[in-house]
Amino acid sequence: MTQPSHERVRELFDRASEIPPEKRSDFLARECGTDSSLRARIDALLAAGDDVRFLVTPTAPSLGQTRIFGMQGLTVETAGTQIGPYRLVRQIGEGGFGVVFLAEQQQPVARTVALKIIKLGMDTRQVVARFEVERQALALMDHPNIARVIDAGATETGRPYFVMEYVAGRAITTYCDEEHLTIDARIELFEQVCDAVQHAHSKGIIHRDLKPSNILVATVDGHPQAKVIDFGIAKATQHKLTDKTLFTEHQQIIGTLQYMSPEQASGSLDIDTRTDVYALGVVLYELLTGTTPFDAHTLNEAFLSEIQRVIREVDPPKPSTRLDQSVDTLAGIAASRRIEPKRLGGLVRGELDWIAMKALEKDRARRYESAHGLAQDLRRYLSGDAVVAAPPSALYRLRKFSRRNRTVVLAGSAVAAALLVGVVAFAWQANVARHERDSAVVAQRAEAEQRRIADEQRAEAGRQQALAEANAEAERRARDRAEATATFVTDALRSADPNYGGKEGISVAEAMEQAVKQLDEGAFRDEPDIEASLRGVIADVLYRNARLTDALPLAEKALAIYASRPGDQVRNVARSTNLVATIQQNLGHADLAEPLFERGLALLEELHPGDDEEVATALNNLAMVRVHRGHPESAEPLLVRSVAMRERLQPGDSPELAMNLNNLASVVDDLGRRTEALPLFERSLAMYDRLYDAHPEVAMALYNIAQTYIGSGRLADAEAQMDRALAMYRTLFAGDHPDVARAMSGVANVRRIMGHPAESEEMARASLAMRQRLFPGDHPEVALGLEGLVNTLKDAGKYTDAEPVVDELVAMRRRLVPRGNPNTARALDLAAAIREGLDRTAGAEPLLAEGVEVLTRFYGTDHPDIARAQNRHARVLADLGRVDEAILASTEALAMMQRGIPGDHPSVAAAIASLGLIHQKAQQLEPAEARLAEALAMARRCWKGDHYDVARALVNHARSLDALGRKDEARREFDEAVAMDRRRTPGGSRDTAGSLYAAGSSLLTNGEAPAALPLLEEAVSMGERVLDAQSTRLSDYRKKLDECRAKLGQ
Amino acid sequence: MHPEPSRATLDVLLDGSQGPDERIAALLPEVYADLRAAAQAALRGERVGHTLDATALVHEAYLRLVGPRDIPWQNRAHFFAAAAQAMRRILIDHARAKAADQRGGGTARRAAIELTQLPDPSSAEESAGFLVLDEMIVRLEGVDPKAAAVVRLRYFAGLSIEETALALEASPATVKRDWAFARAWLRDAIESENG
Repeated sequence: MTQPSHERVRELFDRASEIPPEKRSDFLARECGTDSSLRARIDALLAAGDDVRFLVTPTAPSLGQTRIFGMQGLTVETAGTQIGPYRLVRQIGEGGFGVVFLAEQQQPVARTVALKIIKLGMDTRQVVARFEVERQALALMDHPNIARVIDAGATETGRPYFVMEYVAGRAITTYCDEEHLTIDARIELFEQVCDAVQHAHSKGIIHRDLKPSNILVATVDGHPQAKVIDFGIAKATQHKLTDKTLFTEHQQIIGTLQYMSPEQASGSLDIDTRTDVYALGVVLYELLTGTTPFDAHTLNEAFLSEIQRVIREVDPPKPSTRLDQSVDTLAGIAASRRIEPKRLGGLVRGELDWIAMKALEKDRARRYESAHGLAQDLRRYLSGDAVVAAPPSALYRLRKFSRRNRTVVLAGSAVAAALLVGVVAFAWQANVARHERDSAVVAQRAEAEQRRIADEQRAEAGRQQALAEANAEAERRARDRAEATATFVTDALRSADPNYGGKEGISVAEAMEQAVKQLDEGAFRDEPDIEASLRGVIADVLYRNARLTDALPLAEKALAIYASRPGDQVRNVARSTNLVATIQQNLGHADLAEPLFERGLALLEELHPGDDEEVATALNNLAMVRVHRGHPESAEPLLVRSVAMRERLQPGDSPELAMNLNNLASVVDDLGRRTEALPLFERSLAMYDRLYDAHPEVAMALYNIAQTYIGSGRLADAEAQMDRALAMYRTLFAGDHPDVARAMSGVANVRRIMGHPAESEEMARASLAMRQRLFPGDHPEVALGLEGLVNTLKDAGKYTDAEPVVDELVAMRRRLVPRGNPNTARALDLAAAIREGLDRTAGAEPLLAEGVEVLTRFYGTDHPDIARAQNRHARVLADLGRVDEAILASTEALAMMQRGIPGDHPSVAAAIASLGLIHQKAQQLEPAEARLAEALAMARRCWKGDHYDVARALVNHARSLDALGRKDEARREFDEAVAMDRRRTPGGSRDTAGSLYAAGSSLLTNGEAPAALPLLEEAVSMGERVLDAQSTRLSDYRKKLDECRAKLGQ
Repeated sequence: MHPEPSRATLDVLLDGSQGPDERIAALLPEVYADLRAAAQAALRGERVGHTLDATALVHEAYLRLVGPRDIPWQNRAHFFAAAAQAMRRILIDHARAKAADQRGGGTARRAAIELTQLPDPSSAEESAGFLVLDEMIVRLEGVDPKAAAVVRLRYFAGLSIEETALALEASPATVKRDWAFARAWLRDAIESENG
């Protein structure tokens, strides 16, 4: 056996690492096949990679110690070292910027103290000098909950140190958890801290570095006592805060990031007591929930600039929300608070939420004025009084915040958040690239200068400095820009969330509008790339929120900007072209979308002459727009290419390939090659099934295959798969969801076709209601729901109930797309059918004429749908006695259909039948029979066996034979139709009832009442089962039966 | 007071005319001397079983040699690449002296597998383990140079994923993958090495 190549090993290892461990075995079995040495190699590597100890933490710069380029000092002072009057006893702690020793003081008094040595990297003289400035104020502090700072100085190695009262305590959070303090006990303890901080503030001392490790708690006389340590130290060691470049990475960060107020995080000079209030809020938050508002892990993963941004701009979840999210750890958190897990959230929700969030306000003017104010509100909480933190409208707002809004807003936010990540990454990259160019230019200039005055050495040193500064400036600008972009998007999004002070009920789309306004006002005038990217992002968000007409100009502007940019923007041009095209397509402007998709594809193909993911996707998109334009035949080769490309790019199963196969199957199905389509559908479904257990795409594949089964007349299969699709969607999405609603419509449709009107109506109504909850106002999804319900009501013969629904459907379609599209035409057609059902045929005619017009305008050329609509119009014209117009229209329709589809096709057969039926209505019996015979023959050739179309064609033709007096032939065909329907729907159906009625009526007309009777009786009894009680069909059946019985003298 | 930043180091970092390799070569002597002194100072501490902290050593060396200046990352990356190289040489020197008679063998391999960070230079076993690990990193370089480069920056210079990504001009995701693979490969290579 040969050694597997490293490339292959690496590729499989990477891919296997990214999938869940339980799925790896199947994945590797597929990928490795019989290559057992390859498989063994990957298994060995995966196992080795699971060793959690080996080299796993080479750096581990954990938050609270050093971050990026903090300094981890080297300890020179050790136990026994004498520093001034203090002798170090042992090390008792090591923190962010110091090592703490327990020390003994001999002079002037013998006592035990804590001595903190600041690590290397501080300017010792300045630290000591600043401490001296504060020394007097510090001396004035006298509070039982404050540990006094006694002294400061410099060690022999030149490091600053501080001497404090020694406190033998544990960090407040540790103490509370280890002692299992209840929420109330924690709050009482926390009040001590607030009092201590208030005392310091009254003496003019701001702590600046409050955090649990600076709040030590010990049990004194059976009660917990808190002591705040390190007062004055942060101030003395904080000179970097005054430096504008505080956050360039290699400088020390003062305070621990998690407890840092937004104003500290932005490097502001203007720090006041409210910074401590913020830090107290963080500690309170942690005491309540066990975590800080921004957890260490998140902050630790981020770039420094991102950390700053988070602290300054991202609103943390409320404590109760955080508890709700802490599913895995909630039991432990609750246990250490001596409360049942499920009660903890409820206890914190409301007042404690408000208190903590008020202390944590980004804008310090909205925080508690003082630590005292915070303590007072906590006391109010404990005594059951109303807290001032409660916003007057908060309860009202919470009540008003309807479930509907939340669904929409959250769905939008998730999309937007994902996009935000993209924008930030983009902005960062773009700016790093630009920065490189800037530095190169600067460097060149500096070099030229250097040659000109090469002898002047002093000057050179100056320029080196200038160059360094210029580089630093460029980098800072890049960061600023990336941040500005991120801020811009987050601000816009945040204003959409009522939880965070945004306007109530505002949608993501409305927030995006505000963002657009700022863009239009020139917020990024000097940064066209960022502006284009933002416009693209917003367009995408709006598009996903179904705000198509708003999305379009943004996407177009983004495209225009990219197109006008010099240089390497081809990919962005291609992508924004595709976005514009997608929006156009969704607006129903497939004619405008198609050339755009073509251009996008061409650009991408130019970029990637070979196989490429994006090209495969673009091929797919272009194919789908062609399908929508009624050209499945030109879509098919694109999809075949796309499928082949994907098969080469990634052999084996992939979601993209499964999706492509699904689309190809739909197209092949559209082209009438159902026998070819089904295996493609089945392959796609099987692939999805292997890829996922329950997954939206599997459910979609089930839905599609069910639709195809409906088309193939395999109703039992259709029902089974559609039910599966709905069940899967329901497990995937709890509550209301567009896909659940769609699958419900699917089930309603299958039930309708299978002749279960009551079940169908119930499901159709439920689907519509869900869609209306999901999409308030006009929305394509709601229109689909209306349409489904109309179909169901129509088939049940409940025309009166259907009329207002269909009228709303037509009106909504007209509002959604004023220009009209096939959806509009379908709605018009349905409205006409309902008018006909209500015996208002004259009212149906103009609706159908409008439908033909809409479709002709939409397609601009021959299309089967135009032909069908025209035929439908023709039939109504015939009913209205406008025979000549009717025959002309129907003949034209047939010709159009035959131009589009040469040869046998169910649609052609239907068009022929249409013309035949119009002849029939016009009492032109000979041509009618000829056409209907032709239609029947073609239907038989198309379906080769039992089929709805064949059974209907038999009934039609039989009637025409009957009319010509060819009774025996007619009788045979009626009988065949009934038998076929019985075989197709063994339990009885509307179809069978219909053919029984047709056959019975024929016999009755021909004076064979005794033979007609059992047929008509069965038609009525079956109709009573499968048709709605009010159905006009059913009353027709009953009338005919009564007539028959009358003839027989019964 | 800050130690006066080294002119030479700054010059190299700011010199736009040199390529990355030249810069690293130019930085190496000074970084090496400084790191060596710092490592020895750290080892004079009395704590037994003390492991060196790559992050602390290297970052402190940076501050000593460059000072709190805004050097663009691309340029700083050269410093850390040089530091990683210097760190490796220091550790190898230490380890060779300490583990003269323990090279190879099962004990050394076991020790190598147990390494979570830089070795304790006072431990003969960890030193021997370290030498095994280093040899494997050299071999990894032969099959997957990018993964080996990630290991060097992460292990010897203590850079985080993000910092490594910036230094190598790769995406953090790529660095994460390289790191995961390198760890697995090294772990496996150490274990399956015979004798």
